[in-house]
Amino acid sequence: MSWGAHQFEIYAVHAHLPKKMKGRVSFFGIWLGDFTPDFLSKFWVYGITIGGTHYGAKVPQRWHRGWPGMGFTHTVFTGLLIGALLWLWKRNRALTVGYVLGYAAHALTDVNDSVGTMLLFPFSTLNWTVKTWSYAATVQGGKYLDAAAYYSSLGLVMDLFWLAVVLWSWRVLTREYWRTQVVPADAHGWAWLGRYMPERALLALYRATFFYGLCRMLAWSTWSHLVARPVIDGVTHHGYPYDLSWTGPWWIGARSLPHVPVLLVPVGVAVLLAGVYALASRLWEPMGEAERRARGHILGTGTATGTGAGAMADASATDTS
Amino acid sequence: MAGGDDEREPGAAWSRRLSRAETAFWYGLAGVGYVGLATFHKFLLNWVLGPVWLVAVVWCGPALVDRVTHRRPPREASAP
Repeated sequence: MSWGAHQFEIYAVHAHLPKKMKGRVSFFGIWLGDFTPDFLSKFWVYGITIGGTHYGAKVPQRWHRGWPGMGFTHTVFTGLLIGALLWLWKRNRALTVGYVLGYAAHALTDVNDSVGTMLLFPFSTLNWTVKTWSYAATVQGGKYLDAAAYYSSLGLVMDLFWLAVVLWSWRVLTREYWRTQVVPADAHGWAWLGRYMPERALLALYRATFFYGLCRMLAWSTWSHLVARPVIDGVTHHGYPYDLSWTGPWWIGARSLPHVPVLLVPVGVAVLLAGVYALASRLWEPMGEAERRARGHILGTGTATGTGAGAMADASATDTS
Repeated sequence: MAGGDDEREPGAAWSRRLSRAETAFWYGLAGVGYVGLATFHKFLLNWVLGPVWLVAVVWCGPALVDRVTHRRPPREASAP
């Protein structure tokens, strides 16, 4: 699984939208889509211990990513399905497209650990993984061992990669970007929050997921390498040892599930990623039309007054600042 | 949106826009404080408390400092 990467990729996805979608895709949608897979599945991966009895998944990786289990939550299919339901419910293009892109980003990023995700579910229940680092969620080790393994392996590099992508697109974190690219697509939501919070709090709220991703990366890394005193093979270490080799770290066995050949995975990820963006791009205008119709606006007059991105979007670039 | 950078409204301390230096200070303080505490108290490391921490520090911190230091809005400060 990925840790801070999931927080950083939200901003990366928003910063690198296709040109016609810039400023019109919901940040809340991307956020919700990216977090949904773990909302639905992760609580039981580590489980809870009450009165000395542990309640949780017996085989965490099967529960989290496999079938039978909750592995379907980490699939592009489920993202599209929930996205379709969201569209039928809200008729909100900005939210729907954002949700699907965020969901797909999460499912595709998670092919990197040794368990991977069922990319072709429901047509196949084989997992797709490139085994970049070891999936380390265990009943005994819980979140601590999982974090230590992740931040001792190429998982740390994955977090740093996504952090670099966001920092490379640093404008995504600025007030101007938030005002011109984020607020217009979620005008209702930000306006509602603005009834209770001033702008500096709203801006902090927008940046908060990035902040949390960066802080959890630093805190877990600090704990893993400076504070923890693990005993590995009978030897006490000052911090968990780094191992940046493929499928590291060496000191924990890599969990796995039946999967497709590793060499197929980059191709599959590229095809699915391109497919999701192509689908979003193909449906972009029709969804905008449908959203305008649903909101009862007159087509072709350029007088749309709705606050949804679709209602504001296609006639002109809108800046509500 | 509430607030903006008008410092002359009542309660402006809660909504005034921060300077770049203030912004860097409060975000930095929030980060150092959160990482420092969370390294030793892991329950703090979750997607609810992390964002709430940042918003609370950036929103409330400057307002509390303004109160303690009796910082006045520009119009009041320049009044005879």
